[in-house]
Amino acid sequence: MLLEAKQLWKTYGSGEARVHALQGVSLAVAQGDFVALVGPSGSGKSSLLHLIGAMDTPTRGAVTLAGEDLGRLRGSQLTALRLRKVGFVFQTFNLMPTLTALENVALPVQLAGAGTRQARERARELLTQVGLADRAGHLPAQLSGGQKQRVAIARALANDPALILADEPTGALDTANGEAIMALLEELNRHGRTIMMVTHNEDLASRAGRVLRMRDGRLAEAG
Amino acid sequence: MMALALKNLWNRKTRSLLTILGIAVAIQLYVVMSGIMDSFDDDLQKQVAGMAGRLVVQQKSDAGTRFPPLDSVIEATVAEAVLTLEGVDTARSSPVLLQVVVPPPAINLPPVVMAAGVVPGREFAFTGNTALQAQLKGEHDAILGAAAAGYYGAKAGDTISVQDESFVVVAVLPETNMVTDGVLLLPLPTAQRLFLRHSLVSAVMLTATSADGAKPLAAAIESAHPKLLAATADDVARSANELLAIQRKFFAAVNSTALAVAAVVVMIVMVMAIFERKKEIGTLKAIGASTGRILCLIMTESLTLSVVGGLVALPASTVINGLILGEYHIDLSKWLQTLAVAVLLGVIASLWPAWAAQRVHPLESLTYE
Repeated sequence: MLLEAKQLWKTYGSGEARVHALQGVSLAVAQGDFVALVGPSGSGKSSLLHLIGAMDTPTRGAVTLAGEDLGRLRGSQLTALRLRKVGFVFQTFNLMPTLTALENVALPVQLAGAGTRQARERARELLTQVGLADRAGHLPAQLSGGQKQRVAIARALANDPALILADEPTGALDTANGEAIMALLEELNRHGRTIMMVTHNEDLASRAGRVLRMRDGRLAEAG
Repeated sequence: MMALALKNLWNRKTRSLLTILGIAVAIQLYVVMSGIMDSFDDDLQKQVAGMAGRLVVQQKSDAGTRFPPLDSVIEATVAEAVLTLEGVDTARSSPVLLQVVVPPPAINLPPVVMAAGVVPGREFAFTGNTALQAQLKGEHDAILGAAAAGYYGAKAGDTISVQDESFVVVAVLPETNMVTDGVLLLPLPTAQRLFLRHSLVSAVMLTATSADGAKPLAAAIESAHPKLLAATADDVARSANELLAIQRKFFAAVNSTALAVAAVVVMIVMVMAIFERKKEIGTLKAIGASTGRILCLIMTESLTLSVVGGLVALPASTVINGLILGEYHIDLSKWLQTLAVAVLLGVIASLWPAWAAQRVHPLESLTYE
């Protein structure tokens, strides 16, 4: 299994203000899976994504990603794991506004220690893969929403991660652009990428290979 | 991260330029103040060097050695008695009457123009200049120091007016030190008449007959005349250093304040930038930027602002120093020192912002406006 989560709990606050965002969630994701996490607002799906992506630590429970027990890793090791094993796609794209599309995609490669030339070559390949080779020199402000999200996906692929985590990747896009992004994710999955996507859109969720439903911090699998 | 740092600064051009300007002003102030203080120290060295082997005999006071001893008063007969002591090179010694003609621009500085009445033919006693050929032969002859000549706008052969009397400038001394440069050398009887100090002098400037004779001569003078103080070059240097100590403290305080303000300015700008870019920094952390990379990003931005500010300050301070001190030159060691100060300023200013940036949680990348 690429990813295993066992009895994950995430609690915020204390005393009467305590909130259990996750209550004993367990799941497993194999290499090549395309998993959609669906649920209403406050169901805990984003909290689960954060724990899996090593952006947050569980109150209880364990996450193993690509053979690494995240609970045993220190802050700097979790950062290194995010750099090399996980690719994030954010709802609001989160591109660096002062860097071009090429520089944004090259950034993780440079953070991983590659030289500028090597990083830019890798970035060009990825931008070609997502159909934006002709936009390499554009700043994010010069790109449409759909184009920005494609650049973000290319950035997420930069270090050939084991897992792509997408948090509402179509949330800030219109229907047509959302469809295009979904199509891109499906194509990546067909080529062997493991993808975990959070969405509140049932139609998009149904296009994933597996759908995990969450409610009140608990998980119920559905197909 | 270097490219990201520079682009972040470029993206906020107005803020970056204003910050650079603030830093440049602070560093320029530091360089100018340091330059002025260095010129004081250089001048002190020249004064001491010019006094080698000579003594300044003055009225003893609680203030200790003063140079020039403007408020010292000695009876002319007592001065003549000192000149007759064994060990005095009479031909190169003279009683001297000192009088401020144009006051100094600031406390503890020598006067802009100071009249010095000396016995004609013994001008060396005051100037220490063995190359000076001209002498005060006439009652209305004058020899000007370089700065005094600048004040009067006069050269050798010109006529100047002092206390409504005309004097012919027979020579202008080369630049020496602040005291000698401001001198208006007159015949002693003329000075005594002009400034109503008949039978009085301010000091006796003595040259010892031998190179190592100054200290024994000083002891002999003070033994024979207990109300007199015989100051050697070392005494003059010590006294001048004590007077300059106040200036040094003042300049050090101004410099420290200027640099501290510049550091705070950079710090404020950087902290504001981090608050504005929390989501961006959170994203960098989310995609795997290490704490070290984030610190490098912040320090690069801070150092860029301070070093560019330093580079802008260098030519400006060279020009200002030239205007104040009257000479323009590029001192590479000073420039390197200035850049080092700029780097240090950038590092210090980045400490708190860098600490704040590395505390940003990756989950900040998920905040939505």
